[in-house]
Amino acid sequence: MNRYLISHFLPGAVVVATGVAIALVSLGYPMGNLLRPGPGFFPMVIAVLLSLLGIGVLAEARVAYRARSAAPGDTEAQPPFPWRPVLCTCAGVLVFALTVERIGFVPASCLLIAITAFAETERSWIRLALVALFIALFGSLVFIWGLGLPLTAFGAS
Amino acid sequence: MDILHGIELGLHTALTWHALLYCLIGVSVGTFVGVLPGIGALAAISLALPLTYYLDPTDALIMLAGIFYGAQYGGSTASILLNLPGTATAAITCLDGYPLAQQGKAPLAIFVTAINSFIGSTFAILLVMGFAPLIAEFALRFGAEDYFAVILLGLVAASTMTLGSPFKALAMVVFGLALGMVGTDVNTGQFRFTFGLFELADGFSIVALAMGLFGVAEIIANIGQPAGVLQTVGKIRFRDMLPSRKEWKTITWPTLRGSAIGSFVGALPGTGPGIASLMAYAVEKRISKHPETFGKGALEGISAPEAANNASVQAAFIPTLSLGIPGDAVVAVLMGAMILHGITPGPNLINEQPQMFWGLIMSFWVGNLLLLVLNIPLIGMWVRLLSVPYRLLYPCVLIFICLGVYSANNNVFDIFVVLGFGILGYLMRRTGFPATPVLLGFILGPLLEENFRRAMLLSRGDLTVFFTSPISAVFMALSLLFIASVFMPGLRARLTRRAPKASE
Repeated sequence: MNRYLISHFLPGAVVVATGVAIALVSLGYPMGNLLRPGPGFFPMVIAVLLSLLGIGVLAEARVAYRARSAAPGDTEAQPPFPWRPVLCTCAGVLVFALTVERIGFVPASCLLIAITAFAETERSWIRLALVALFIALFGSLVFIWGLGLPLTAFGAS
Repeated sequence: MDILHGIELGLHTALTWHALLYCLIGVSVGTFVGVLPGIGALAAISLALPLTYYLDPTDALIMLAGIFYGAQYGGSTASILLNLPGTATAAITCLDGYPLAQQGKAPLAIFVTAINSFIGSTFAILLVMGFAPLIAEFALRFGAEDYFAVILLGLVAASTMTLGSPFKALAMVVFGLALGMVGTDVNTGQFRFTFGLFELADGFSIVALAMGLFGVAEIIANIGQPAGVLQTVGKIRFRDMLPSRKEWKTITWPTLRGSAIGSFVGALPGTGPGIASLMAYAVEKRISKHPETFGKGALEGISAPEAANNASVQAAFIPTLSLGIPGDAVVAVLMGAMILHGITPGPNLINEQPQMFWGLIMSFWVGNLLLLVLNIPLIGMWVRLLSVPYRLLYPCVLIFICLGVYSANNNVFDIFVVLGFGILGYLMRRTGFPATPVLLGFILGPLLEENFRRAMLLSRGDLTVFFTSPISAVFMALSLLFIASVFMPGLRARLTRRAPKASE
């Protein structure tokens, strides 16, 4: 139940916190006045608005929570957080970003394909190898040769 | 310049071989990404954006716009055959399209959606030709306060005309405004919210933001989902596609009503095809004599929304080309493309770049005719595409996204940005925060702030100027009306109304 409470009110709380954070940062910029609004003026207005809307989101969550406690029958279970796809996708992209300038486009792409393959419960390495081949040819042709990106297919750029 | 002159000039531009070629590439790519579930027009345009740096701006725009409206044609195919929308805007077509396919009427459904897409587009292109020049002429009189008010109206319309919580949508618009502030303040040169990162001095790249929030987030959401069941259609024969006379009669009025609703919604700054198709469907269901057939394969249920989403896509060019205010998130990225090519969209565009404006409009005709060919005689080709398993597709899309953002600045930093926004976009989607308002806020934010500061300077710090200037006052009143329409019926009433929908 506690877990439910946290995930239920967390989004609104994050919005409010973001608003407060923006406000704190914009305090560091010159505020100016209405005649000559400074660089800090608009951010402050935005921050206040965002915090207020976050409170609105929280209020809405509270109304929904009350309605739900009143009629506990129709509980819709939130699907479990898909850790596997999220982590695999992130790891794949991160590794690609960190390696593409050091070991080249083709090896970096192979790494991304291999890592993201683990996001699914089953995988066929033969098909993925074909995908990698396609990407290596197409990507090198269009992006490196055609568009002249400062990357190399293999090796550091 | 009158319309006839414009048409002549536009045809000269749109019928050159290179314009035709880029138009064909655009609509083919559009249909391709439209057919494939999981990549929408937005991701495709963001990807193609860096490719257009080397093109003539008019050709570039013709191609990018082609991707946008081409995707609306393709989107319905997956809805009908897979019960999975090919683009988010075709979601409503699943409701009646998939039952039609189950009844073995997939060819008919595909034909009807294609022809209705064409009619919807035709309707709206005529409106663009008629109204965009008039509105632009009128907008030449706009002062800074009027611009501020019309941008505000766009942002408010985008966030109040969405499904779900208006608080969440408004919060996302404001969040988008905040993201737009990152970078160097144009008036004073002050660095804001850059946290000492040199890469952020120019702000976030629009390509990275759009591809993260829509592309990467979409991929994360789709991985691991069970694959849809492809309705086997066998060989699609032309004979099976043609509606009977009775069926033609059924779809005539829904199509026209859908086109009208779509054009209206599309022409409003900030609202796009998703809302248009939904409204068209709701209207048809309400006025239908047989509302019980909806959801079980009613032809009206696919014809009205398909006409509406195409109409809204074309009509979205009215505010973009005449005011410089995008009618929808995808057009917003297109507007970003125009700015990258050194063209400032706004009321002066039609006068200063008539060959570009009319060339683009005429290319809409060319493109829609091409799409009719691509989607009726050549439909078999796209259907085969749907049998490619998604899990082989998304690594390719991820790599293209990475390369696409990299190519904008030749900087790995943007890949991290795209990943960050991807995770954020996925979490937002999971908690019911819409992503489109963020993008609109991000693009319109700097314009909003600039016009606000200019208006304050000109009015000597008098805030009432927004209500005393007549043009501005009208827009402000409309914004208030939108906000009131959401909050007046009472929060509680809204929540109880939404509750049954959430449990569906």
